[in-house]
Amino acid sequence: MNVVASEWVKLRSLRSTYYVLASTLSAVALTGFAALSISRYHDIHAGGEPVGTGLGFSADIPPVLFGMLGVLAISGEYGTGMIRLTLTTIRRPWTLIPAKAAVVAAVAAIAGQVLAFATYFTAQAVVGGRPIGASFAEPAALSEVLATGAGCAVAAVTGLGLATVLRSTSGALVALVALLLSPTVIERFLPAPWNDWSSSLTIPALTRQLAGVPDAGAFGPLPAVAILTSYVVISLLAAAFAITRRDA
Amino acid sequence: MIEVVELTKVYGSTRAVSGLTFDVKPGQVTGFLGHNGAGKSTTMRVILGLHAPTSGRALINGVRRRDLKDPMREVGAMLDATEVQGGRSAFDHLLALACAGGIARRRVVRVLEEVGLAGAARKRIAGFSQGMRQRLGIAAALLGDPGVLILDEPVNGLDPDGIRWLRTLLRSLAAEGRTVLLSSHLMTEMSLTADRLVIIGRGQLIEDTSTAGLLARFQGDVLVRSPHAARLARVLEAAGATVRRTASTPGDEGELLVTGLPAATVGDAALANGCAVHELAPRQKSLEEVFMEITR
Repeated sequence: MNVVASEWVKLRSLRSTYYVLASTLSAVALTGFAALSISRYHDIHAGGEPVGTGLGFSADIPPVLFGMLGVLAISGEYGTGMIRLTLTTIRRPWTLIPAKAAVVAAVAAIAGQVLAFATYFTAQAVVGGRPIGASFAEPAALSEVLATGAGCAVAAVTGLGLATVLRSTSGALVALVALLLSPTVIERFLPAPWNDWSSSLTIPALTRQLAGVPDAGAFGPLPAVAILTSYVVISLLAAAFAITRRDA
Repeated sequence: MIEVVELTKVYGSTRAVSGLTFDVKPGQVTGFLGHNGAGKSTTMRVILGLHAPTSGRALINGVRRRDLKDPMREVGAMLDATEVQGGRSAFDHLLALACAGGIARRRVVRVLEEVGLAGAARKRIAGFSQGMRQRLGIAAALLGDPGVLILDEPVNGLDPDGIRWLRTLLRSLAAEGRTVLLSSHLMTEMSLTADRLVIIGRGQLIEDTSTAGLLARFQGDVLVRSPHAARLARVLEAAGATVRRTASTPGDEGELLVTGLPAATVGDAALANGCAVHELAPRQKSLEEVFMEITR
């Protein structure tokens, strides 16, 4: 618990935390613009694609940015060498990993949830009275919004794991983006049904499947939970193993 | 109490520390000396459990660092004062460390006052001078009020006031019965601060001795100024001394540097041979000279 308190002080006392959180607002802006142009199209042509919850337009942004939050939570310590000082204050190196993970996951879950609601309400406000939005009465609309926060937490822990293994800010950021986007890239080169499975593995696709959004992916809610959990477990185990086995 | 026993650390093909054994006892300041790359920092990192030894062991209060129940209250360390995240304020930096050890916020305030950073507590570390960073590093080591202190080059970058302050602090911490191990390249400072010296070279122990004992073993020379320098030199050489003539002036007047005879014998020999002596001064070898000699 002491280590969690320590990590909370560290996270809240760095400006980069606030810059990253502020930049997540770009997701709200992106959804807002998308909803606006679709609404305009609807007014002129009637019909076309619906806006729905609006989350899908900017769904790739939060995992990358909250993953970055997880990366910065430890890569800065490796970059400066402060990790050594940190490790002289705790009993076992591995305890640092769950403590950092708890802090970044909590911050990402709360901020990600607020962001999801902000994105949703922005989309609905832009849509206004047009029949192309999605009220919470519609199936899976509320649960889609609620699952987004969990996806942000998973991304943060994944970023933390990558940065602990790679010990470099730039390396971890490249790896993070590659990992988060690779399923959609690989999809194009795979035959059915592999392509579907691949594209269903991204964090946004998994949270939509978790929420039971129709046509969200090849897996159902339970497999989605299992895959999201394995993102977290693999990241934590790899990070704990790396920090225990290596000289600091 | 720190015990290093047959410690060896190999990185790839580099043997950083090789069969090193020494104790650091409580109640005194122990200086850890060696050239760059001699293995000082490696040894300190192994003692602190940051690096795993290839063989041998390093114990703090009888156990390995990883087996300490409450590490921050037992051992405080300053490894490299530049290894901090500059974006944080001094207070937040220390508060984060204190939280990890369950140490109260008021102790952070107290330690900041003790090292003279109370006025800069809310400023970002990025704007700190090297001396301020050193003080912050020392503050971090003191947070848990530990019985064992391990400080790597704590004097670097401190101003003369800071150096005196640190010397007084370390001596008083040792006087309270704490174990203090510090490395430094500033030999004059080390000879003033350390009661004992552990000197290593190429990862191996060269000397483990008291500071006074080491200096006594390496006798300095005797400076003699005499109007009959040439004659006196012959007399002293006949008595078995090695004499070097310096600052030679016209006539017989001159300065001699005599090694191999104590000052009293030199004076007696001058009297017995009727040589007037205008100056007779035994000169102690500095720790720097001794260090260069034994680590050559």
